[in-house]
Amino acid sequence: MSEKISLKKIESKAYLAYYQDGIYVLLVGLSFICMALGVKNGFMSLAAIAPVLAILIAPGLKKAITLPRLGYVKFSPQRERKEQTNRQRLVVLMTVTALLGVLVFFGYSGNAAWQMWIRSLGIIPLSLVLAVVASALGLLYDIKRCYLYAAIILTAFILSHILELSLWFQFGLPGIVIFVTGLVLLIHLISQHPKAPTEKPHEV
Amino acid sequence: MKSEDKLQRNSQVTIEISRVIHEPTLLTVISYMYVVESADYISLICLTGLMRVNLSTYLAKLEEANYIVIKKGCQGKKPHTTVRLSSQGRDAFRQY
Repeated sequence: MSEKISLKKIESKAYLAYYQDGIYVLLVGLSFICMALGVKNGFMSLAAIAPVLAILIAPGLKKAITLPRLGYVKFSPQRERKEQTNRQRLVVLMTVTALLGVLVFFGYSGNAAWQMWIRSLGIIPLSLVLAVVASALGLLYDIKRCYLYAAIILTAFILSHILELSLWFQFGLPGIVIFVTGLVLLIHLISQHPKAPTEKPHEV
Repeated sequence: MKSEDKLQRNSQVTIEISRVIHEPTLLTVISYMYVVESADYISLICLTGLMRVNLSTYLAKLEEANYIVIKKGCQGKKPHTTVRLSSQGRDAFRQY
C-alpha cells in the first residue's frame, strides 16, 4: 500500500487547523445576532459594540480553548510572508469597503438620480459589502465556508428587501446560521481534541 | 576486494538512512516537521494522530539519528517541549 505525500496539503492542513476551531465564526454570528437585537429593540449601541467586543475577546478565547488543544506551531517564513501579504490585502479591502460605505452613506442623502437609486435599494449595498468581505476571507484563507456565508447574507438581505421584512431578518438569519456553524465547529474541536494533559518532565 | 568492501559499506549506510525515514510513521512525523519551522509536542500529537507514548518513541529515534532537535523549556511553570527538524534531517528528507 502506497500513499503519496503532498507537502502542500500537509502544510495547509496544519495551518487551517487553527481556523477550524469555530471561534471567529461563532463571534461573527454572535455579532450579527446582537446587531439584529440592537436594531429590533432600539439599542443601536449594542449593534455597534458587539463587533468590537468580538475582536477584543477572540485572542483570549483562542488562547484558552484552541492552543491548549492544538498546541503551538511556528510556520515557515514562506507561510509567515503569505500571512502578512493576506493581512495587507485585507487592509486594502477594508479601506476600499469603508470608502464605498461612505459613498453609499452620502447616497442616502440628496436627490440626484444615483442617490435616489441607492435609496431604493434599501440596505442591500451593505449586504454586498459584507458578502464581498466574507468572500475575500474565503479566497485569502482558502476557507470555502465563507462563500456560503456570503451567499446567506446576500440572500437574507435581498429577500427581506423584496418581501419587506424587518431588519431583524436581515441580520438575524445570517447571524443564527453563522453562529450555529461556529458552535458545531467548536464542539467538534473540543470532542476531537480534548485538552492535553501537561507534559511530564521525563517525556521525550 | 577493496571495492567490494566499499560497495558493501555504502549499501549498509544507504539501508540505515532508509530505515529511519522510510518507516511510514517516521516519514509522517518528518513530513509534518518539514513543512513547519518548529512544533510543540501537543501539536505533533494533533497533526500526526499518534498516541503520546508512540510519539515519544518515534521522536527518540529521530533524535538518535540527529534528524531533529528537541528543545525543552517552560511556559510559565509548565514544561514545554518544541521540536524542529535539523539541517541534517531536512537534507535527508529532501534526498529521500
